[in-house]
Amino acid sequence: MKKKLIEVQNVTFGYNSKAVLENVSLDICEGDYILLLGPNGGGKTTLVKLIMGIYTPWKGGIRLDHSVINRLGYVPQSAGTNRNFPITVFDMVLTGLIGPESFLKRYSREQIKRAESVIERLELEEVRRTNIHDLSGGQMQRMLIARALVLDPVVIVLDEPTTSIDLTSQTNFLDLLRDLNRTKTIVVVTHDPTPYAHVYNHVACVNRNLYFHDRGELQAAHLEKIYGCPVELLGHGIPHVFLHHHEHPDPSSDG
Amino acid sequence: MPDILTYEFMQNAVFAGIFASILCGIIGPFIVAKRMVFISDGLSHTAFGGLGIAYWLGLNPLIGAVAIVLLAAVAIGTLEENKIYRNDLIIGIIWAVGMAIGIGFIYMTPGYAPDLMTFLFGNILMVSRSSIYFSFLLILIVIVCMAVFYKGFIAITLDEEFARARGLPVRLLNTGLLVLIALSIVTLIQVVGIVLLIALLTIPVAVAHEVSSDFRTIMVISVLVGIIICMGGLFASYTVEFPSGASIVLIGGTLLGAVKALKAISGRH
Repeated sequence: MKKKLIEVQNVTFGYNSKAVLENVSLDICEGDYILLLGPNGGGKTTLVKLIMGIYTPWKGGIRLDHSVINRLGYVPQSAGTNRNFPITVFDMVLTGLIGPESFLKRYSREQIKRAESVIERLELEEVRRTNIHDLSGGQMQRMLIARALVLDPVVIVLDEPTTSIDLTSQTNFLDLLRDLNRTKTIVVVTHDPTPYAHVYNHVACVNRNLYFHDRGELQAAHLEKIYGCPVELLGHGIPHVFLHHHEHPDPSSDG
Repeated sequence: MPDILTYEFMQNAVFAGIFASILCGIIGPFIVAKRMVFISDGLSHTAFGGLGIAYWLGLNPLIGAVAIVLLAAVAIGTLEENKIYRNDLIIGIIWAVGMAIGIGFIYMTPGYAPDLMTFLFGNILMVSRSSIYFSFLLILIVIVCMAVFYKGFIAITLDEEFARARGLPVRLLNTGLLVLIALSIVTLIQVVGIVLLIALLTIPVAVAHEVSSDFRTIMVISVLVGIIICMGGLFASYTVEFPSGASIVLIGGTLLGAVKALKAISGRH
């Protein structure tokens, strides 16, 4: 049995007293490549922000394995980054190390070396001294991953990472994620599973509730229930594991 | 210039200009990067309320300004964090209320009423030695805080959500940055006044952005540009008898235009 790294336990959360997620449970295990799938406004990003500790659940809890504490990499939507801020790629990658225990200290020699090695790994050396304002969408995305990787995370959570990159960059980007998945757990939030069809191994569908079942193949009916509209499955033949939603019936049983 | 430095008021003016430039150079790049120019303008007008209350109580006006601006900075930080009101709404309200309090208290102050124009447009030539000491204290506080919390301020300016995910005390850092902005504003009020201080917070940064894309370098250049603008404005004010605050701002605007034009010309060749 794989080691559980993150356990979301019966979490309820929302905004302005309106619940966006209700009684959601999800286990993220070592080596997983999970897609958090669902329509816009369905609560995917909210779930990720709860996992990242940005929000505190109204009910329920989130348990992190001790190996994940301080080693949870986050790649938020690139729109949240202030691209007008005058900073080079190298300095930006270093900011990934700024945490509550370190924001009063200078970067150590070891941290600078680690940033250099991540930049090399993500093939950002050419733009190392470039201002982030001048990066392409693909370079920006790689830089945001580098910023997450500089922590040497056990789990990397990416929120809509392919939104602002072209098709060629997307292919390289997915290769990179597959490569990272050899040693790290990957969680990707997306409303479109198509680009990930041949790489992910689990899907969790989020639309206010979270649907999940242990074995069996993803059926169009599952997604139709979640999206509330006809859905065509583009990634045929890939085993999907849905997550159990404890309080709600499995959509396959009634859909 | 050396001749005019024999006067104590000119010495004070030079110190005030240098201190204001150092503060602008440190704080200005954050204000511009975080798009907080409007907040700074709101805080500066709120300061007017503190000046009025201090006059009415017979205290040093700067103490009143510091107190009310710090209060406003904490209030903005709290209201913004808790999303109680929209940012621009909060600023608009504290701006107008601050001005109204100032005008009201100055009106109620018995005896000689201070000239409102001095606060609104500033007069670097009227800065007292005690105000210089006070400014020096403020500048030390700002520099020490900036040195200690620099990485935290960078993190919240670059990507607030990522900073939250990393567990940084974002609320505390945002409020801290607002407090440093507030302290800088109080110093700047003496130099260029409430209305024109935004120019000193933004023009040196705009000039620095034209010549560098590194944040630390922009800070250094902003300090130097601020000093050039203040000293130039001071000299112009003394020699052609023109209002000092306006001279400083106009020289800053001219310098920015010249740098921009030079860059455009050099880019063509």
